[in-house]
Amino acid sequence: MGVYIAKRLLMSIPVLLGVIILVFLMVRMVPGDPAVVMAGEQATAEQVDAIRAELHLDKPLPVQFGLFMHDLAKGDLGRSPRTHAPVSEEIGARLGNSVVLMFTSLLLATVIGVATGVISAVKPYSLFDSLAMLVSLIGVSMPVFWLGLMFILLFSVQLGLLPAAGTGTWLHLVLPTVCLATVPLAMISRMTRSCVLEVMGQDYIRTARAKGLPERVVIAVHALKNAFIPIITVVGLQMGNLLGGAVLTENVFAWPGLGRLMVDSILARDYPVVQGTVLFIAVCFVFINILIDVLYVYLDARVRFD
Amino acid sequence: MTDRLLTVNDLKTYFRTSEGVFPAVDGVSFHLDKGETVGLVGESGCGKSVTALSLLGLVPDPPGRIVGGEILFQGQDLVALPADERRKIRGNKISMIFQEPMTSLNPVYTVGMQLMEPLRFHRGLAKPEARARAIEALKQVGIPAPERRIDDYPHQLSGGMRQRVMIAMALTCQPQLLVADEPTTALDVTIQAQILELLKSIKTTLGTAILLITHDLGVVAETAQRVIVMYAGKIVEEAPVRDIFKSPFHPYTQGLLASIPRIDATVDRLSTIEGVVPNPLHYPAGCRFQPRCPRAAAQCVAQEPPLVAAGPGRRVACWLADKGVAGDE
Repeated sequence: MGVYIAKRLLMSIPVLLGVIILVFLMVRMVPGDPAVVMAGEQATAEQVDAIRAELHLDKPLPVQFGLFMHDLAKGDLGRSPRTHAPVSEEIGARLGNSVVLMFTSLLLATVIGVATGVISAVKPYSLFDSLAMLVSLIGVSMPVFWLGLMFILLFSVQLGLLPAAGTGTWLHLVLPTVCLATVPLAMISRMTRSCVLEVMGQDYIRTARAKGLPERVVIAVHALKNAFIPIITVVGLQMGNLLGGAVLTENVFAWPGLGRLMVDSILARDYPVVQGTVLFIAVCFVFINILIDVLYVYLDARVRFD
Repeated sequence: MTDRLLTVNDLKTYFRTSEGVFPAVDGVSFHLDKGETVGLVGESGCGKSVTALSLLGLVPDPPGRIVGGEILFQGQDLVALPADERRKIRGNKISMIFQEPMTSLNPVYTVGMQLMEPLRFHRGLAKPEARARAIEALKQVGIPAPERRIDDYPHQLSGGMRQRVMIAMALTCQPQLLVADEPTTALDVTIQAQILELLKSIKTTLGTAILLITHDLGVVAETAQRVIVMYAGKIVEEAPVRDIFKSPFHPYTQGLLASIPRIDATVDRLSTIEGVVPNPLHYPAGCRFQPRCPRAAAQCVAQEPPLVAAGPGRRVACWLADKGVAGDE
């Protein structure tokens, strides 16, 4: 088991390196001089030069990369020229909010998604199934920002039940959670339905029935554990998406998370923060995937011996 | 009067498809005595597997359903039984093993967990006790080092081993009837022989009756006392195993036997039965075998032959059988 995890960690090094290079180049390849943009319109040439020197933008690209890697190795993502705070602090201040929103949405999406998927698969083409799949089709194709605005319009403006934006109480969490959970919920329920349906047609399900097990045991014990392998994959990918991809939801509901930090930084041309945030989310993605791979081992003994 | 274990009367299992009703099993009657091994033979699609699934109450519904007849097991009609009562008989008094040992075990659970399930559900045994019994069952089917093998996952076992595990699983509750649906088809020849040997020993040591479903007459010859031949959803012939090899009555049985290559004769071309199995949605008029039968007469097209007694322990459904045309020695 330890060897397996170590192997997966080693395998993630090239991926991480690739991500670092991409993020590094991405920021530097944006048209225009970042230093000029960052310094603002009223800045003098000296101020622009100061920023350029601070960001090492006056040095050749390979040297910049070397310096960037050197700082990164120390865990230093640089400083924001806008707030003058270290990027890691900026991320740290928002991370909690993002994680809370990610977990509530993921929980909602997984619990309801798996439940509806299983019920649909057990009685395929029933009224429940048709309805659930229609709703989830709408859910998958729903533009999140529009849905968020409609939620605000209905629950905050019309009914006055829930706050429209910001943080504070758990009530603030309701609308962003539901909004953010919509797409993953729909995806998970469709995925669960097709996986469980496929598993129910397997020979070992017939064996389980031939043993005289009650149908609920056949489904809960024999079908679900097999169906969970692809479902876990989808849930894991959604986890990464929710962490960094909550950009639209966080902006609609003014939720101070990583997604909003990223958008604000892009608008302010705060490149170190953009770079740091993208890198942080990418690293999270990689580690979530490793976590999922480790989970496979617990679900399916065949993985261990590969 | 011997001990009658199972009597199937006029069993009809139909499948509804978008193109029409498919009578997979169409009025099948037979019986099984305690401790007896009966071979159910026929080519693919003749309804032998659906007959087996009907006995267990495992016909996938939809699209399939038992639409008529009765299955009397120890005097109790299984068809009329509520689903929950039937479930309590499955894997307990009637067990089944399948053709595909490679895929019939759940890949994500240990062999032991899967073996213990029937004991825990039907007998209400606690884990340690069920485990001891499961190890015993593995030993019984000839698995070496069962104490270690019990914690293996299916993928760690070979095909033959997995079929042994399937058999052990089927036997854990000491069923009166074991339905074996092509148990050796997916295995190589040496393993086949071992599994058949195992089935035979089960019959002698446990007294379990076995309904052995196969398309391989060789398997039947080695293990069964009686043979039932099915064609297109119906029984066409039934006879003690010796008689069927010596003097088959039905032209279909004769064709089946003639298509087995003989070790003592040199032939250039193997004998086959002309034609193909008829489309179950449009069975031919009269005898269902008539379009392929080398001896078909006018009566065969006009009327369906009933399954009638033809000597001790023998039945045949053929208009020509009693006219001395069939059964050459």
